[in-house]
This record gives sequence, C-alpha cells and structure tokens, in this order.
Amino acid sequence: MVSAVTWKRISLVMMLLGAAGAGAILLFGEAVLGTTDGVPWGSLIATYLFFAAASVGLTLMASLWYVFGIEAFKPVTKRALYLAILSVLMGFGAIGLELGRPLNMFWLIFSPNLSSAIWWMGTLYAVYLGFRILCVYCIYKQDEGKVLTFSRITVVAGLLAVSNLGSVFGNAQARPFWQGGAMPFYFIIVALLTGTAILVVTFAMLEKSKPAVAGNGEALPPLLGRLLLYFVVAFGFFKFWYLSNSIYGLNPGTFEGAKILLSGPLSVQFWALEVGLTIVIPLFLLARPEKYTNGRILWAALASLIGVFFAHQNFVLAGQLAPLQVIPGDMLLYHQYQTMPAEWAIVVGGIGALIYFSLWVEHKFFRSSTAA
Amino acid sequence: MAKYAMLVDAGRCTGCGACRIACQMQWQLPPEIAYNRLEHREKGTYPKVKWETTPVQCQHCDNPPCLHVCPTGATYKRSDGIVLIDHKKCIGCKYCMVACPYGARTLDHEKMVPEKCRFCADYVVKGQQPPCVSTCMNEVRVFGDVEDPSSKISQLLAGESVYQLLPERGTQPRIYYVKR
Repeated sequence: MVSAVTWKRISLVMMLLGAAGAGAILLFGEAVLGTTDGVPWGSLIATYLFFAAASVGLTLMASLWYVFGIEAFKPVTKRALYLAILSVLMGFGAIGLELGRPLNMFWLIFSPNLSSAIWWMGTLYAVYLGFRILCVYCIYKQDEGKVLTFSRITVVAGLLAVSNLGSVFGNAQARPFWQGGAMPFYFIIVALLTGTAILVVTFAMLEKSKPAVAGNGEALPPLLGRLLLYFVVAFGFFKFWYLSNSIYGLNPGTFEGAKILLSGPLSVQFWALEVGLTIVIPLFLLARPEKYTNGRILWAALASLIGVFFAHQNFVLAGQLAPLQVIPGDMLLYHQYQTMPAEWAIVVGGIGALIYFSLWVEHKFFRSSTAA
Repeated sequence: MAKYAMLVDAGRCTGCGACRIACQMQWQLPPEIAYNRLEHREKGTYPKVKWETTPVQCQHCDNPPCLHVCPTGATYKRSDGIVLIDHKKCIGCKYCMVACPYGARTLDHEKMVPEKCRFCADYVVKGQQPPCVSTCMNEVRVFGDVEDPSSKISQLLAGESVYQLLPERGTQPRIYYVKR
C-alpha cells in the first residue's frame, strides 16, 4: 500500500504539471488548446463536467445519511462532503481556464441573461457550493438542526445544478446529438456513478477507513460496490438506448454523432475507454456480490472513473466533430480535435489537487478525531 | 426605422473570395479570421455535374440562438435587425459558437471573443454599403432596408423567389437567397 506521504509527493508533482499547463493557457490562450472554430469546446469542458458532476454525486451520496437517514452510509458522509467541495472547485478551475475572458464574469450579476443555460449553470453551482460550505461549517459547529436544513437545500441545489448542466447541452439546438430532454437525467446518472466511484477510491486510499463498518454491521465497501454496479448498469442502459435510437432514427446530426462514436474518429476511445472501462470491466468485477473483495471493488471504481472522464470527452466531441450542414449536400470531412499537452496537464493537475487536498483535510480534520 | 437585410444570388458567385478579403480589410482582420465564407458543393451526376458556391455568414436572425444562450447579454440585437457583440461583456464561454446552426462565429484569438459578421453596422447607417457587397464584381449580394419599398432589396425581394438557410430551425434569418 502506498503511504500518505508518497501520495502527497505524487500529487504535488501532478499539481506542478497542472500549474505548468495553466501557465501555458494563461500566456498563450487558445493557441495551446486543441479547440478550433469547428470544435469550440474541448477537453477542458470535459474536465469541468467530470468534476462538477462528481461533486453533486458525492453530495447525493452524503445525503443518504444526512437527509435520508440511512445509517450504513454514515462513515462516508463527512469525507463525501469535503470531496464534493474540492471537486467542484477543481471543476471551476478547469472552466476558468477554458473561458477566454474570465475577468468579465461579474457581468453574470450585472447583466444576467435568464434565457441562458450557462447563466443558470453558474448561478446554481454557486448556490450549491455556498450551501455545501455552510453545511460543512454547521457540522463542525455541531448545529444538527441547521445541518439537516442546509443538507436538504444542497441536495436540491445540486440536483438542479447537475441536471441544468445536462440542459446546457440538451438545449443546444444547433447540435442535435446533444439536444433533448434526456440529457439532464444522463448527467444525474453520471454524477451518481462518479461520486460512488470516488468514495470507493477514497476509502481504499485511507488506511484508517479500510475496516470501516457501517452502523448495521454491514461492511461499507461491498455496499458501495453494489451501488456502483447499479449506476454502471444505468449508465450502460442509457448509452445503449441513446446510441441505438440515434443510429436507427437517422436524424441529421444525431446519426452522425452516434456514428462518430461507434465507427468514426472516436471509436477506439469509445469502445476501449468508455465502454471497456466504464461498463465492461466494472460489470465483470461487480456482477457477483458474493465474490466482492475490497480489491475488486477498488479496481472497478478506478476503471469506471477513468472511463467516465473519457465518456465526458466523447460526449463533448461527438456533438461537434460532424460539420454543421448549413448547405444541403455531401457530408464534408469530420472536424479534427486533439487534446493538447496543456489540456492533459490540467486534467492531471486537477486530479493531483483533489488527492493532495483530500489528504490535507484528512490529516487536519479526521486523523485527530474519532468521528469519521 | 430601417430594417436591414441581405439578398444573396449564389448562382452569380464565381468563388473568387473577394468578399472575404474586402471584409478582412474593412475590419483589419488577420488572414486566418474571416467573417464570411464560401461553401462549395458538387451537384448532379456525370456528365451533368456542377460546382455550386454559396456565400455564408452571420444571418442576423430575428430569433438568434446566440443571443438566447449568451449568459451576460454580450450578444444583442439592434432595432434595425443587426446582431452585434458587446466585447466588454463577453466572458469567452463560446456557447454562441456552439449554438449557432450556421457556424457563423469565429474566435478572435487576440481579444478572445467569438466574432462574426457585423453587417458593417457603423457604415450602413451612414448610407454606405458593406464591402462584401460593394466589392463583388457580379453583384452577388444586395444589402439594404427592407422597410423602404423603394430600396433595391425590397424591389428584388418582391420579384424573386427566395429561401432562407435552415428555416426549420426557427431562427428567422435576415439573409435571403435567390432560388436557383
């Protein structure tokens, strides 16, 4: 088992890489990103989606105890809360670097456009983060009444925020592959899947939590393993029907997006990294609960986490790689997109920062306390 | 109040690209940025094959998706129909680029603003023509006030059979194309 000190060193190196990537983006702008006029949203958007959805997933997991009173999840609750805050902050960092003129964001307050899903996204995530922080503060002040109230508000705000995230894509009428009412539900499924997987990995990393036993005597990792299995199945179910309907429906734009994933320029990334890591490997490891070991569940969670990142990337790119059909006629060549080193550095740095600050919070608030 | 619009007769277009260069000169754009483009399509089957060229730019829609999605209202529509960008409000989220079904936006890497055709707003109010119109040797584009019945564009629109790009999107473009 890798020690906490080694993890800190590894995560520091990852953060340094992220800082180098951020520096390059701040200095050279879009020139160091893979985005173009044809593909304006790239890997930094996928990174933002990953962290923003993961945060709400962690909040929903925490709510199983705080809001719904399921005692089995009590041991994970506090860690889920701080990870939710760290995760959304990493997401804000990624999208802050993606924005061309982030200093103009004060216009979101002074000149709001209420018809914009991105305005709602910023607002709902800000409200969500505010109440999440308030909730954690009340936990440490041991003000149980306010904890319950703020937890309920945060769950609602989180659900609204992540489903609105789906709506940012769902109401982009120029991109039929994204368009539709299913997107908000898809993002909730992905949030739950990511949040559960992060909790499994967190437990494995923290040796104190390894023998964690829930209130009803059931070991927590198998419980998380079963939840992970359900969310992986839900994710696979959604993907299967969404893509098969897109192919058989033959609607312009939707069909091309599905084809890009199934047999086009993203097919390797889709089959190997999205289907393989998010669905096939976790299903193989988790299908039989009687065979659960901590190692099996951890590997399933790690595979699904990597897979979900690529699922976000595939989703973002598949909606854009097919050129817009403005003039009727033959389909032109696909747009090209390549994730550039600066973008990879932000992904690595974001994960590194999440690990580093998780260890810091663990050391600062949990190691000296008996109440996990 | 004037209501500006454009009529494009793509059948007259030779694909020379002078409209693009004139626009770049007008707005002092670097070579890689253009506010208008030419789309080419091969039509028909051998031996009756032809090469069609269609000029495309911001359609200055009456129901512009880029305006609806802009979180800060940086994209706005004037009462004369021209859709413009307030640079100081733009956060560079590029949602307008994603939302535009015509692919009319192009990122200005220096200002980090998704730019587009402005219908030469500052010039047309003085009675001047946009350079993409005035520079064209075949008079592919006609620009003017459709509220004025004596304007050339009003008279042409009354006589020609026209269509708009992607009418099914409900964007209500202010650029009309002559049916070929």
